Amino acid sequence: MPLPPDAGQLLQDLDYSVPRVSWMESKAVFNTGFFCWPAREDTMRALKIPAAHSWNVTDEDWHLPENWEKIIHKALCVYLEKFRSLKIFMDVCVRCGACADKCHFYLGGGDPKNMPVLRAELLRSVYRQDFTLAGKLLGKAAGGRKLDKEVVKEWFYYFYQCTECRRCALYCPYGIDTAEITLIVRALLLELGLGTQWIMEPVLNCKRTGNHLGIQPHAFKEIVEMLCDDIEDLTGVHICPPINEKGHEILFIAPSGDIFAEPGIFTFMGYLLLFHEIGLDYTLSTYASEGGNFGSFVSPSLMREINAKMYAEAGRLGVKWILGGECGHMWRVIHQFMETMNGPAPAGMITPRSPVTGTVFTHAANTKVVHIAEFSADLIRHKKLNLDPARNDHLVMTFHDSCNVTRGMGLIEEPRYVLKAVCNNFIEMPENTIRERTFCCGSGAGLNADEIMELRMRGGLPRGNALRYVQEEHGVNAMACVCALDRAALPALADYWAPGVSITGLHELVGNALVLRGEKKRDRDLRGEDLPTSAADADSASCPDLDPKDAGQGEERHV
Amino acid sequence: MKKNAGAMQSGHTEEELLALLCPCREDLLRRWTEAFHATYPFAASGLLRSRKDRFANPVGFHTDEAAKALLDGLFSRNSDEESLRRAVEDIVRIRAVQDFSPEQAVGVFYAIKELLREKVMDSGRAAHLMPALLLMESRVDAVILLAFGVYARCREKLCMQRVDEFKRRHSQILRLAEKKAARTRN
Ligand code: SF4
Ligand code: SF4
Repeated sequence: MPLPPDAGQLLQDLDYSVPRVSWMESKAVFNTGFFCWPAREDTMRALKIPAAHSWNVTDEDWHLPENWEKIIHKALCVYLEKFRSLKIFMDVCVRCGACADKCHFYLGGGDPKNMPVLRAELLRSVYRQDFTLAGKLLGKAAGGRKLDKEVVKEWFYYFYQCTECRRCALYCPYGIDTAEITLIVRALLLELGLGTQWIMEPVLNCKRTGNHLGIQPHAFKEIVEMLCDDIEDLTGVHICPPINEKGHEILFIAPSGDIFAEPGIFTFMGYLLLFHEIGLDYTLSTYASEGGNFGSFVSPSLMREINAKMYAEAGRLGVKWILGGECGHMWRVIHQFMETMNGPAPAGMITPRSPVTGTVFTHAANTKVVHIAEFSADLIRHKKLNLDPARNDHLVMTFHDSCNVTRGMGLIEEPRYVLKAVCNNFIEMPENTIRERTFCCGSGAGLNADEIMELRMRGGLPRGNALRYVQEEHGVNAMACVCALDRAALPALADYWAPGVSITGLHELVGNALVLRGEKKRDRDLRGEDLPTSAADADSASCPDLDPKDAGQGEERHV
Repeated sequence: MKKNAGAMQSGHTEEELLALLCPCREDLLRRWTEAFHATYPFAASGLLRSRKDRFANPVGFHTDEAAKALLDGLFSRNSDEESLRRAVEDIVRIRAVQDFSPEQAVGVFYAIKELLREKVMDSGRAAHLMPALLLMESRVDAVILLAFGVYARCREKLCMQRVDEFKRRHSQILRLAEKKAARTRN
């Protein structure tokens, strides 16, 4: 092995001339830490993926099916036909470069193929060559290139380095949505039997047992009971949520990470406390025990199958509408695809109406699904909750806008409204890193696998960098979010980029601040940690007369 | 960066060395950051150099900060060691998760040595300034050692995060299993 360059060589090697090898010729280099383990053959077979087979990412030969080029062409034809948006995205890019430096993976690592424009070009070049007249006639001169096995490898590498966050789409003058291109390329790869275990296993689990982790119904119920025991221990309030019961008004569906994983469980406890306090008539379901939808990361048809369980269960249980928990991709699917994919909602479901305030959620008239942040914001707006935000006084909060609900459905103000009502200290991160312009956690769209921790931290750099800034400048020590994937991924991100910042869900904070009828003296929060002031008991609660305008007496400072 | 015995003897040449180098600060800064930028793919160097917003271009920002802090550390008798440490940590934490081998991630700091030597050699007083230059290079070595430690700790953290994440993800299943095991034991 040659020695590393010495000080002199480091300077001699400076080369600012254009590289001799164009991007089309350079191959993907697979470094450990930057690619996911391949999906196992048995998993893929169980999901009825036709070309399921065994293969290794670092092997030269990926054992593609014999007629693999035909398979890709045929599938691409179908998608171009079916999704007009894809055809437009392939045709209209003018390579203006506005999107180039907006992707967190590019900002974090500098690899040009992580520029959204170039990422899309990995497919577009093949499309040009084979699907446009200019490409057919002129080939490379018209920006086309031949599909070969190296291109397939490159697709696998770079389209699994995109979190489908849509930040690039926000800046594109044509609204070209690289996330949709990524979804289609991943679907093309699936046709060749190429997927990742991290995504395909949860998809299979979801179909078999109802949730990503593959927890069976009885264990689901036992875990919920265990959490209710914790609630009773901490608050003195006994809760026994209905599971799989017919005849209730509402079906509540949360991401399963909130039931099985830390710190999501504290958010789940917050949901249950809220429902108990307002006397909500709801049921949980084990069949629809997963709000998340890993199918949406790889294939329109798997996305549809998993999402279909929501209406199926709502119909079976005879509920009037669905209340959805804090999840990212669950909401992207509900908001953008559910109605066309699996609608109309079962007969008997109605436009959601809050049983407490009477508010009719007309924007959900078609889907019949309401986001819990909207639901809670409405309760607070109507002064229906007795809140003591001082119980969260040990926290200096900031808020991470999760890509899917922010750019995917415009849920921006509601979580902030709730947050400011339950916390007294709230600091925004810098403007160009929040709201629509939010930076991704770097682990979305099936990239929260632990084997790619390096990639995730790199992708999480822009978010971590902004978080670190408010930590240093304003003493921020906790970041809230409304996404289970964030709750899974952000603790590692914060620990790496801004050690000392903890991650919470929105309704964990609601659960802490909520003054319950009949509660015992609350001296610990939902994590079992001491509350800041012993005065935080029912008598000192301050919020029943909360002025809606300042649902949020919480101080907000912009930086 | 404590001064050692050599510092006592070379006190006055150190002054002279600083008098030579301080006016070149901007040039040194520019060339040393260029060495950093050159470790990234060609297409990224434009962004790294030109975007000044610390949130839109975090790698470029922290590279600049590290370069400034290092030069301040070398050129100032009473440099703020804490800011130097922070700046080195910030940039190495970034490089530890980029496409670099450990040697590449940390080794780029060495480039400053060559730049310093070049200035001294070109001054026509190389022999006279040599003791002070060697001292300054020792301080560079100390910074590189610091960078090496940060790199190692970052990589260690990445490993630990895999374990911690597994525990968090399965926390309630593990808890349920433990509870059941306890029940069977009793
Ligand atoms: S911003 Fe849109 S049109 Fe411009 S290069 Fe990017 S994808 Fe193409
Ligand atoms: S969708 Fe997000 S991750 Fe994918 S290319 Fe665009 S900015 Fe990057």
